[in-house]
Amino acid sequence: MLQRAAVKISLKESRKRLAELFDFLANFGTREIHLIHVLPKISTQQEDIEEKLEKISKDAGYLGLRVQTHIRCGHVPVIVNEVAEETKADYTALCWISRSLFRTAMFGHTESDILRLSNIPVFIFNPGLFKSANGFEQVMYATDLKDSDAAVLPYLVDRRFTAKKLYILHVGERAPDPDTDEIRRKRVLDSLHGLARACSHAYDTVQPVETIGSVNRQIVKQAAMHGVDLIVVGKSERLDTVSQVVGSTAELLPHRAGRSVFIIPVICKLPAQENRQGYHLQ
Amino acid sequence: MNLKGNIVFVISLLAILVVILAGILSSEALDRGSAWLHTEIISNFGWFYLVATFLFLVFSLYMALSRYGHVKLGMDHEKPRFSYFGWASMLFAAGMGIGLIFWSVAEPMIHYMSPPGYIEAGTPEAARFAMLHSFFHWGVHPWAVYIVMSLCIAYFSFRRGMPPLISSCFYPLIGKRIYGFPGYCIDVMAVFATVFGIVTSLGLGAMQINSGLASILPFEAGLFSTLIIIAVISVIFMGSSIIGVDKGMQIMSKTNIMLAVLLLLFMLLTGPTTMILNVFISTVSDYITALFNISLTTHPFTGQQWTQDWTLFYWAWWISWSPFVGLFIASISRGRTIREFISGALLVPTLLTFVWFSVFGGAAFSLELGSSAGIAAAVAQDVSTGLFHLYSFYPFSEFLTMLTVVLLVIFFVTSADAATFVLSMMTSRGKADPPVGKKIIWGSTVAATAAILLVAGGLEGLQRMAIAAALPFSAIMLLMCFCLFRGLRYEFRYERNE
Repeated sequence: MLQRAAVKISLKESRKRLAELFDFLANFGTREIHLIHVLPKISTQQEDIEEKLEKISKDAGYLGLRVQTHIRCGHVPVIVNEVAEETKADYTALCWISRSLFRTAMFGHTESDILRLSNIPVFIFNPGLFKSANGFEQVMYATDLKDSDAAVLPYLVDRRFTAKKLYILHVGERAPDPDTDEIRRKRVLDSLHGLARACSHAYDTVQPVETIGSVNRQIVKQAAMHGVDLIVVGKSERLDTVSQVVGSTAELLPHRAGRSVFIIPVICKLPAQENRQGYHLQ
Repeated sequence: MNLKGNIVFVISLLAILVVILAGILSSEALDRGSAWLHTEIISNFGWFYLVATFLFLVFSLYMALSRYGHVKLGMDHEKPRFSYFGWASMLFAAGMGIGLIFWSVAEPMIHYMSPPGYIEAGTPEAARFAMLHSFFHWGVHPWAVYIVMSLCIAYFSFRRGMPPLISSCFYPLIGKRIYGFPGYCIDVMAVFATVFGIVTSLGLGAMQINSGLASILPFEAGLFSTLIIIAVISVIFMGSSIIGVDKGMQIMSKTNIMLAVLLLLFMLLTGPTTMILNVFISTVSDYITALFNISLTTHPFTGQQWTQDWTLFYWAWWISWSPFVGLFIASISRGRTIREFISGALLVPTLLTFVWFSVFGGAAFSLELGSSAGIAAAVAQDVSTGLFHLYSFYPFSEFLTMLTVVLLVIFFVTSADAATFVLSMMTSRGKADPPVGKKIIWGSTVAATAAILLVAGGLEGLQRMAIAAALPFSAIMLLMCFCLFRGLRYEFRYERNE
């Protein structure tokens, strides 16, 4: 299920960074990648672009990946998602490019738009400054304990997902009084332990983490506190009014996470036969 | 005495004694300091008071009309402890009462004679403005302020099982820190506002009772007679407070409302009935039409000083009174639904207030405009004599004055009784039946402070301090709205699965 990736290439990425991405993807269990470069208009530098893509393809090929390149014209986020669908990619991968709030507000954020429009999982590669780029030791799954679990868990327990430690985080809302809050906390911990049991066979350690507060802020804080390499979240299509305006948790998270994020849309259901490991939700 | 359990009691009592000592030793300094603080706050944050009060009104209406309206302030099976009549009487007695009697003639007359610069004084337009703004200052806005405070306390106390304290409302925001320093700060501030408010009311109100009595009884109104009035009132309200809300407060409030309605009917029937009804209908119409407009107008180009002196002063005053009135109203509203509570608290007292202002203000205008009775001039000379001057044009004027003094005393006692009860509750970690010892301590503190400051001067300084407390409280109340919304949203989202 993570075998085929659509990779958005802007050609602004350094070769080193792309090599790190491909290395990471290979460790992710990916075997085939589609490099997508979108031109805003017909460019006179098409040959130059093809040449650069060729070099990138070779780099990926050295890692044992099968590579195809696609050069298209149009609106970048739409085209990337279209090609990903055409090629039946299991997920889209991209290098995260941080931009200032002002620049994002004025000119938009292509990566963010790809994520918003995507109906398949999106892997955002952002290893940070001092992290090893070619694998992940610790993963954090931020669950809402709702419908995202059914979509995300098959990925977490997949044998290609080779992390050693999994944190399962739930950021809740404090109940209006201490007694109810204690009951809420207990219920959340029970659910998290249930999820932990469902994932326990795939990791050396699975640790439930329960906290309250602003969801985005807490995910970032807990991820930093535990030094995780990858954050996994589900993306719901059912958004409240505020999220519709400012963006959902999944859409906002990459801007603040400072590390790689894997976002799985809830609507992206895994075919039954793919669920090789099997899991049980309590 | 367990210090941790009484930390709010000890801190607030000590701090209040320090401020009062400052008032006694250097009343001029307190006066100057409080005047500066008051002016700065009203000038710079007046707009904030307007916005906050308007938001409280919008929030109250939203709560009443939204799906949260049918949530009960208590467990689902609970029924209201007091009858509608008893509840409405106590609402009115604690929330308005004495101020309404004091200002029912004086305020329309003052606005008539001294309107803002863009209206000519003593004209029909000024009369219309005067009635509209009297309605505005005593209408739905003060009740929206009280509703926000009491709704939050009632929800978190009776439905979520927390102690009936203002700090309890902040659990969704700061969690168990409400049992620590932030919670203590909020409760101590509430005690401050309540003590300062009730002390100044007791002092200034005693002066008004004194002048009313002096106009019908053969004695000279002076400091000594005022002190005697304070002593008598204090004994009555402390006695009523010790008896408890069920008996003392409820009986007195019901008696008072019945006396007030009798007085109202007498004035309506013996006075210019048609004029009063016309004033009522047209001012209600003006009020409804202009509600949004006047709610958020600071008159930045002309008449800003008038807005600061009146509207903003009132808003700050209502907010500074809200901890005590809110806590009291919450404690008598257990078992009512949010919709029932808001519609009752917003409409019943407001309607009675409008009728009251129309009857007394309309009667005063009828005499003033028809035969230049000199009521406005009398009010200009001494605000507290306006109502008694009006009575001199009516039959049984001495009886009416006596009845009004009785009303003033009972309203005073009910307010002070409610304040003593609330202060004791706030300083006993929200015990529904606070210890008698604390009631006596707070009752004595309030009475002694009012008497001492009356002798030494500094009552107005203390009143301004109470109003200054309204600034942090308006921010606290906005946060309370947020906490209540979060609490209800949690209930609907996770407990009712809606």
